[in-house]
Amino acid sequence: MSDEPRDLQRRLEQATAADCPADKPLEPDTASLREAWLAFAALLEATGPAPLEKLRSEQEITVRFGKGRVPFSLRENRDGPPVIPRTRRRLAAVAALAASIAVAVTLIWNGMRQPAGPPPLADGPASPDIEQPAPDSKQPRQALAANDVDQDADQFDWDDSLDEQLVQVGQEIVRVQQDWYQLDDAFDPIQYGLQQMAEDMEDNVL
Amino acid sequence: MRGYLLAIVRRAELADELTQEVFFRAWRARSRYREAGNARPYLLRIADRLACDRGRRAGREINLDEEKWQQIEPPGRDEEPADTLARREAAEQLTAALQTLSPPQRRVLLLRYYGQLGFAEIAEIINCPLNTALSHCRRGLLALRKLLVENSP
Repeated sequence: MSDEPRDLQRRLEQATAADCPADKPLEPDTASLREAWLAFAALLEATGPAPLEKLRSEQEITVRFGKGRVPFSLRENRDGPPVIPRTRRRLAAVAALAASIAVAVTLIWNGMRQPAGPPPLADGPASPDIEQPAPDSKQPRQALAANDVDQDADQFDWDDSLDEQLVQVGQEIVRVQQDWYQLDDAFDPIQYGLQQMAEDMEDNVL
Repeated sequence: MRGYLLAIVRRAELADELTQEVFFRAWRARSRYREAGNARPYLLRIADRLACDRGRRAGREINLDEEKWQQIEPPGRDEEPADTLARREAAEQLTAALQTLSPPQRRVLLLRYYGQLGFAEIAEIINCPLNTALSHCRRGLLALRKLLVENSP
């Protein structure tokens, strides 16, 4: 860096310094810049809110009980139901949605695995039960339909795979719920960390 | 941090939102942070990026004039009327001063004021050469002098 920019940097640092030593007189150009800087700083100071004070009044982040502290999520609402933070409500909604999707996908998948039509009951000629009625048949249509239902009930065999499917769905729901609890737990350290940072700000550590 | 963001975006609720976002991002990226004894430039860099991104994204947003600003954010209830008046006048002057500055000049001066950063750090944050940052600072101060000192009654 040549002398000119370095000199400019020095003068600007003097002009915009937080405090200016009184025993060191400024050059005329630097003094005029400092005058502008002080006027600007006075405006910022006059209009700037006290950020921490305002934030503290707007939202109380932690409640102290002795040495420990209770995160916001565990605070109780004295006048009504327990306070549930928005993140937790969202998680619950997401978990419920995920569980619904898991159930739906499992059922659809299992449905697609089923054969398209009813399995043949036996080899040989078609059963008279499923024979089409002759065009000149006088049997009422409703009676035929009722007859079919009864025969279907007789033909129904208990399918063990249905039990397995139900078990699978149940396991999926349990897994999704476990994931949700893990996710929920993961939020608490974040919240705790943010509280720590807020405290550090209060203590002017940062 | 909030003062810097408020001076840039000029909306209290947005400044609060961005302040929270700064700390949230800092917390999320804590593993990449190297302790060098001063977290302020690190946080201000995040704040500056957020404010710039926000400005780029929401270019259609309009900053309110002082009258509407006061309607939205009235002064504190405990404040004396004289204080309220003085505060309002100062806010009007500050608005005029910030409008006088170009966006880079504003960023340099506000980073210097709120962050107490060196010009090299400021140049790094706003991603420009040191000489450019110095030039922005000088021109900004000259513009402020013209408005606040020479034109002052």
